[in-house]
Amino acid sequence: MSSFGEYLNKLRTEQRVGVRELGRAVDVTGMHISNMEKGKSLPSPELIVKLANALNVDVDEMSHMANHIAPEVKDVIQNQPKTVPNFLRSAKDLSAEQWEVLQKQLDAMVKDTK
Amino acid sequence: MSIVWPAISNQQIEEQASNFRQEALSFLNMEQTSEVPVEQIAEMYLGYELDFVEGIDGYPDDVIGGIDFDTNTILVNSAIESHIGRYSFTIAHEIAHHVLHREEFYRQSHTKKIMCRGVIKRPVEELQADRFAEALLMPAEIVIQHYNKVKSKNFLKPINQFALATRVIESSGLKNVSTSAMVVRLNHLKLASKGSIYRKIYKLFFS
Repeated sequence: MSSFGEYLNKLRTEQRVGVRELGRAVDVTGMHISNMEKGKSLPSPELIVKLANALNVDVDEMSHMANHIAPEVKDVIQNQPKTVPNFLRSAKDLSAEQWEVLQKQLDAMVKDTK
Repeated sequence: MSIVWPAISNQQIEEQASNFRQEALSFLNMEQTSEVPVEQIAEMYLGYELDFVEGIDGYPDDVIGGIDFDTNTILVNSAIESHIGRYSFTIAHEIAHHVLHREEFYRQSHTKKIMCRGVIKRPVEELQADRFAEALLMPAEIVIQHYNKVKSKNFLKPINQFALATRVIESSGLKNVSTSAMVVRLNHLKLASKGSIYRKIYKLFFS
């Protein structure tokens, strides 16, 4: 099992959702779900969103487990091709606490602009 | 050497299936409000992995499911996944092999590695597993309760077996069973027998 496969299987098992049942909820076959859990295939970005919604988990967390970047985040990077990578390079050594401070400042900034 | 399967009466199978379902649902902390969750029972109660395959090596093409006790795997022919009734019945049938036949399978010398569910050949162990599967998926008390709700009130106008089965499925919420499986169940519970006195009277006077 791949790490994503294990992650998906764990979520599904914890929530007592059948393999076919989950497949039907996200418009794929149970075989596809089974293949992802065995590491034979990976989900598309669109499927990650559906899986995250069906299993009530954060899309970013699931995207991370599948080595994907959420389409919305990708759009932000592509719309700011220099600024965002520069910002991330500068911020790469920040501690968790510093990220939290930064997030609060960002939230306040977003609130002010609304 | 082929395995000699001990005889089990239908009544014993019904009791085993009923007890097994109650234990499984209790373990899963699930209530039986509608259909019996056979996927969850196979995976999360018995610990089997469901493996979707396009065929099983060394077995005929008509094989639609199988159980591998050594690897704790239930094999499901991917062609039946779109048909909820056949899919659920196949899993229930493989669960039946686990409950009824696993110990005997290991006790007696065997060369087969996998027990498979086919369509054409129906040896005794397959018939036993079919009976267990129907009893697991269609609890007698629920079928009888809903049969009494939907049966024809006019004994001179009995309902066609398929129409009756459809009504029982809709009324009971047992949506993961096929109409033909419910027809068999109704007959085994003597609720829609071809030889019922009402049907005989109807045929005598109106056919």
